[in-house]
Amino acid sequence: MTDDLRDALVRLSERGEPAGVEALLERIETDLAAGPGRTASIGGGWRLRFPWGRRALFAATLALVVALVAAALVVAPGSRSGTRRVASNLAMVPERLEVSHRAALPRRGRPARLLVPSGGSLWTTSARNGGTVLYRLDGRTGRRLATVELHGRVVDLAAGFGSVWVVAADRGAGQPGRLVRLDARTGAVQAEVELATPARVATGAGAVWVTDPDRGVLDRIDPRSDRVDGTLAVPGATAVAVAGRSVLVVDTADDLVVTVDAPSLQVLFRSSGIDPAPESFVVSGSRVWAISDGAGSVVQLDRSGAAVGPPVRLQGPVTGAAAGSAGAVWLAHRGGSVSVGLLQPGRSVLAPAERVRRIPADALAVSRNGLWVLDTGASTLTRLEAR
Amino acid sequence: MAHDPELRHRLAELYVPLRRFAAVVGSPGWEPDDLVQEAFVRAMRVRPLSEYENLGAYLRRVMLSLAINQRRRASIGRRVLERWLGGRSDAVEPTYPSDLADLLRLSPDARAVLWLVDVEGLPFREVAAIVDCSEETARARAVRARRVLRLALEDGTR
Repeated sequence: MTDDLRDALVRLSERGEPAGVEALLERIETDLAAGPGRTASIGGGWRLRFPWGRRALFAATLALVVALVAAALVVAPGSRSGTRRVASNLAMVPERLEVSHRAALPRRGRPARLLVPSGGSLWTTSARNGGTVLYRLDGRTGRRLATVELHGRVVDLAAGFGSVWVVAADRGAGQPGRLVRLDARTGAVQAEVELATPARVATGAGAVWVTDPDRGVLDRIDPRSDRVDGTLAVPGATAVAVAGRSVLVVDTADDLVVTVDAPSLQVLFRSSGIDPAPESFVVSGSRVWAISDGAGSVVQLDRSGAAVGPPVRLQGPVTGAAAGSAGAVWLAHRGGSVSVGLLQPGRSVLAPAERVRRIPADALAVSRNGLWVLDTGASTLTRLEAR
Repeated sequence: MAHDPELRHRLAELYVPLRRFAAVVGSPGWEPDDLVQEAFVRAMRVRPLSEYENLGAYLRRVMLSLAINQRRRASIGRRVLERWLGGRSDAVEPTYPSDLADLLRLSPDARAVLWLVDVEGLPFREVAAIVDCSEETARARAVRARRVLRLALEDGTR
């Protein structure tokens, strides 16, 4: 314990990029020269000291808060106008979810079961003529904002580092697959990384992680250089997720969940016994959920990648999953009369979104504006909100 | 700009250990260098650096006090936000359970005690002076922090 503790403390002490003595010297002297009226604030930047004292500042702040509350009460929609106020997504509970908006996707090609939030947008894809069209959609209305065409079949998407990372496979004529980096705001191609047969992608712990089941590897890509800067052998590597500084990978060759230390690429744990083997992960806060899509089974994992308790069996195959708040996970499944629900840590039953009833759901994504449901058959996106 | 030679000397001498201490006691959202900077500025506004009997200890105490105040403010802000938003908070733990996440859940002064005792190897008398408590209290904090970490580790591996 003592050695582990010391090691953890040392790692914590090494966080961040040191400014160095010279830079800090400059900053301290600038601060002192600015006089006592200005002082450097923790976290960078400046804050002003108010010469008229704290009481006046407190009174001014109080007055501002009272004015804001009064303004909010006056302009808030609600009982006065007969409309119901939409609850914040922070209070999004399944029993209060209702359909609040529906948007049609372009009916071209075959929509894929991919829906990824990035900033205020959503990204989804559609296969067409041997290529793939990616759509950037408004996170509030679902309206199309940008279209990007790529060669090859897009098999996975992830957002991170201000970009959307696209795994494109099957380019034909023996060409290798690749990871394409798109600017999350404009959709412009920023970089392409050639990888043999990439499958799944995740971002986090300072890197982009791509699995390649054919080669049996996990590749680590440095987002600063857009190059592979580390590779770890994981036989049959498929699903991947990043949780803190750990990367979880499914080893389908041995039906294991492999937990990897992100900075060192060292295997920390190999956990077996998750039956059936997971096909995807959802990281929600500090919790990791392993999902066996086909079997309709979901289980929470501990830090070693082992199952915590028995799996939760849904009424049908899982068709979509997205992280909820406080460690919970939103799930869509085929089966029963309600197809969307929330599974909270420690619970063994999915709390259904009763008011939504049967809504075809092929993918889920949580944005600031609600829970989005993708229906690939009808090419629609439906936004659910708590009311 | 001609730099203050005393400041340059003391900064060069203390920068690395102070930055490490700042990284341990500060919240993850802060740059450790900002804490070091603020501590030096505050110390120099009180008196010249050469007049401090133990400058390193004084600066550590200032950084710890800044870290505690900042954490308290952040915690009050979060509670107000939770109430404002109807009793539910989206402030889920940002990290997967790990030894660092467990460490960061401890209070800054508990982390400071562990760092000073287990890594810097200071006697509890000196630790108590930095953390501004009695020697016994410093000992108790170290024991309590280790117990909390051990329970968190056991809980995570269960």
